[in-house]
Amino acid sequence: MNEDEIEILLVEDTLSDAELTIRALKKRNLANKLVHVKDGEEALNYLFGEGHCSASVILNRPRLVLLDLKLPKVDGFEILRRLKADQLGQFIPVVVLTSSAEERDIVQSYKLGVNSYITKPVDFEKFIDAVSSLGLYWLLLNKAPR
Amino acid sequence: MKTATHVRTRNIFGLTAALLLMVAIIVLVLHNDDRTFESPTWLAILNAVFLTAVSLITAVIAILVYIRIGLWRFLALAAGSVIFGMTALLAGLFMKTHGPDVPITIYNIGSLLAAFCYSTSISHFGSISMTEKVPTERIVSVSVTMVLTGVLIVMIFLLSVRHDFPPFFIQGYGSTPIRQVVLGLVIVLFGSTAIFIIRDYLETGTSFNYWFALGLFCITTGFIGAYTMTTAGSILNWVARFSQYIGNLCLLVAVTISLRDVNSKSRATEELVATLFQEPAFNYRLIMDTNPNGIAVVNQQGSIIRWNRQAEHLFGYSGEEAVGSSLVNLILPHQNETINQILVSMQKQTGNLQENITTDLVATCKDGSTRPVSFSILGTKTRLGWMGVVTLADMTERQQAEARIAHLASFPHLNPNPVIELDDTGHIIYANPGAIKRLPDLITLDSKHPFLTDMMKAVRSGERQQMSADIKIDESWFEHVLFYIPGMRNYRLYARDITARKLTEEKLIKSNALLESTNKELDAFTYSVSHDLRAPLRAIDGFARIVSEDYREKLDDEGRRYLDIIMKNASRMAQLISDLLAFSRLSKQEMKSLPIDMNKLVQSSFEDLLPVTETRYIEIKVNPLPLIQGDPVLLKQVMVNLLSNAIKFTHLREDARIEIGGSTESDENVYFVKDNGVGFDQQYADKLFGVFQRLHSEEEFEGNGVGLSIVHRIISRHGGRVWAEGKRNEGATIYFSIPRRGDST
Repeated sequence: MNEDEIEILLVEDTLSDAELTIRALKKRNLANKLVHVKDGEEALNYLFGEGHCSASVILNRPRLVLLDLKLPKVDGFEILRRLKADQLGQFIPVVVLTSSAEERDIVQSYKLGVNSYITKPVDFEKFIDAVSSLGLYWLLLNKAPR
Repeated sequence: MKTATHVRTRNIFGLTAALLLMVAIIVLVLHNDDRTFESPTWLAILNAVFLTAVSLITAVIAILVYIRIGLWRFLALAAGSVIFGMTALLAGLFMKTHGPDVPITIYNIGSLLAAFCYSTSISHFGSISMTEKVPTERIVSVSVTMVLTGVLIVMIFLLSVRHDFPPFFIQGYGSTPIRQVVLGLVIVLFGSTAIFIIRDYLETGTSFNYWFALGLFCITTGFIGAYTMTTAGSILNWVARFSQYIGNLCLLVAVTISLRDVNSKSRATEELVATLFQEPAFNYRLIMDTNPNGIAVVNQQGSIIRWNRQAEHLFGYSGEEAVGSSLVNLILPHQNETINQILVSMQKQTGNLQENITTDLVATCKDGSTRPVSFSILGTKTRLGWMGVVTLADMTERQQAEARIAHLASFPHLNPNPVIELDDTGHIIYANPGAIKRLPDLITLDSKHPFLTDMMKAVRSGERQQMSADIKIDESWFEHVLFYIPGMRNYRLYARDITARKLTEEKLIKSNALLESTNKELDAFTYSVSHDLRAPLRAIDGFARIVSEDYREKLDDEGRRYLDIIMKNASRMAQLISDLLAFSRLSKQEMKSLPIDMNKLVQSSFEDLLPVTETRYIEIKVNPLPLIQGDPVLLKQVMVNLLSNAIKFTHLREDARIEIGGSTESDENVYFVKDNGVGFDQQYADKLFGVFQRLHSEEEFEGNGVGLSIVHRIISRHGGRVWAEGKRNEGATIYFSIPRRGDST
């Protein structure tokens, strides 16, 4: 754990996608304080501590969570639900960053209270643009409770 | 009418009496007793009472009967009686003064005339001359007859008294030749008349005939006695006279019976018959000829006596041809036995109320054709003998109608499918063999069958007159349709075996279910494939770009070119995945059917393609397009694909031209998109619409050959066709047709 406040939690199982995302954020100098977890289990451990259970209270509060939906062990929806159910966790902006464009996934995410839903473009340029935009927006422009 | 036993007793009694008299006469003749007991006074008295009075009363009664029913015979009877009676009176009166000869002359001549009258009365003439005269006219006839009779009597008397007649009788000797002749005639006439009446009586059994015959017989016996006597006033003479007295009394009884018979008939019938018979045009012939059936009157032997007009029509024989022929020989050949049996049993019947005999026969007409007839005969005993009235009703139409009914009845009967009729309480009143065989439970349970009660309740509640249900019985399915027939208040049930249909339906349902699940699997497959394929694609593209950015300086031209190839392929693959997804999504969507303005559709397609076209100069010609019914979204995609192709394949030309048009054919609309681009070789035209089929290399033109197959798919779903014409370097025309359904645009 860094002593500095972690700004971004990236939950992404595809390593190539993760690398591309980090590269894009680095370009904008937004990736200094970034933690990358590779599956849902790790995400929950980070957020709610090791040996977490459903009653655990949030441990670490990053400023932004970039969440993929298709994750091994625990999927994105579960993490979203847990976060939004927590007293303090509910104020953390969550951006779903996924390859799915399915209506049902979008609906489900919004039902669970997601702040934003982005479909990963295949085109790399566009992908870089999307990530930079969202990073700038959610970390610099958007205000969230402390 | 007296009963048979009664008749026999009477027979015996009368016969005995008559025979006794006969015997007495014969004995006396042989014995030839000449003792005389002449007493003029007694003779006069006896004659006056038994001959004159009785005769006159007889005459009066006969006249009454004649007035009632107009039969001549009674008038003749009356005349005869008057003559007989009056001459007897005169004979009696003048026996004393003029000796035996004159009275005898008067009496005998009078008897002869009377005999003439009596025999006339029973002749043919006397019975068939059923006069059309009314009672009033009859009275005239009566008066005339009586006057004539009176004249005759006076003449006889005068001639006898003046001895203008030769002598008739010589006392002690007997009858003179002239008397013998006269008396002989009298005896013959009276005797034969008696015999005829006896024969009549034996056939008809009427009382009148009996007494009349008996009377005449006794009178005849008396005249035989008179004929053989030698002395007036002898015992023989007295016995003869006595016979005559008895005979006369019998005649009186006979006419009295007639009067009683005539009076006892119902007054109404008499009046009706009287008025009817006033009408000159009306007679029995009218009754016969207006009857719609053929009527033949036959005698005892079956010979035709009368033949009505309808009989002439039915059988082709005229009245002249028919009368006199045997009915059997004329129209019922080969059926002698049947007819004879009928005639015999008919004639055996006694009593007035006979029952007619009816049977169906086949008659042969004059032209040889046959005709089915209903033969009905009713006999009656008349004074001329037994007569039968035969009614022949034409059965042709009825037979045809019966055949038609049987034919119609065969329809439900021979129908292999069950047909059942039920009354309004639900009981089965008719079930054809098909029903009995195939729906046995229904038949046995009848109205208690649950299916029947349910259906009938629904129909009865009045909402509908008809109901149907598919019901499984054993291993078969039957479609039941129940109708209510309001007019007859019955139900009719028609069932049809639909097992084959049901099996097909079940198969269809199963295969549909299978198809649906297969489709779902396919969808899931497509979805996951496309998403899972995209991620690595992103990596390939992304890192290739990273390399080209970060290591640009370190790479030579070749290296950079390789990276370009990698990136281009990655994006191509991305496009392919999108197209594949779009293609598979087509089958999922429900197709709408709305009226589409094709002109507006083309406009909107061009707007979508604007980014592509704005850098180029293309001449576009849009002809007016007919409206069509279809799915707007899908058809727009068709147009976009076709236009985008046209634009793409003309981009090498500077004078690019695209033309769009359409026409209305008999049952479909045909549209086309024509360009003057690079075209294609017509021999490969069918390959155009295959998935991923391309006729040009990737270097020449981008694209992966899915556009036209999407067009093909959409148009197929609309029920139309696609085809193409092209020539290398001269351009291509893509046609598509969409059928019009019902509308007449």
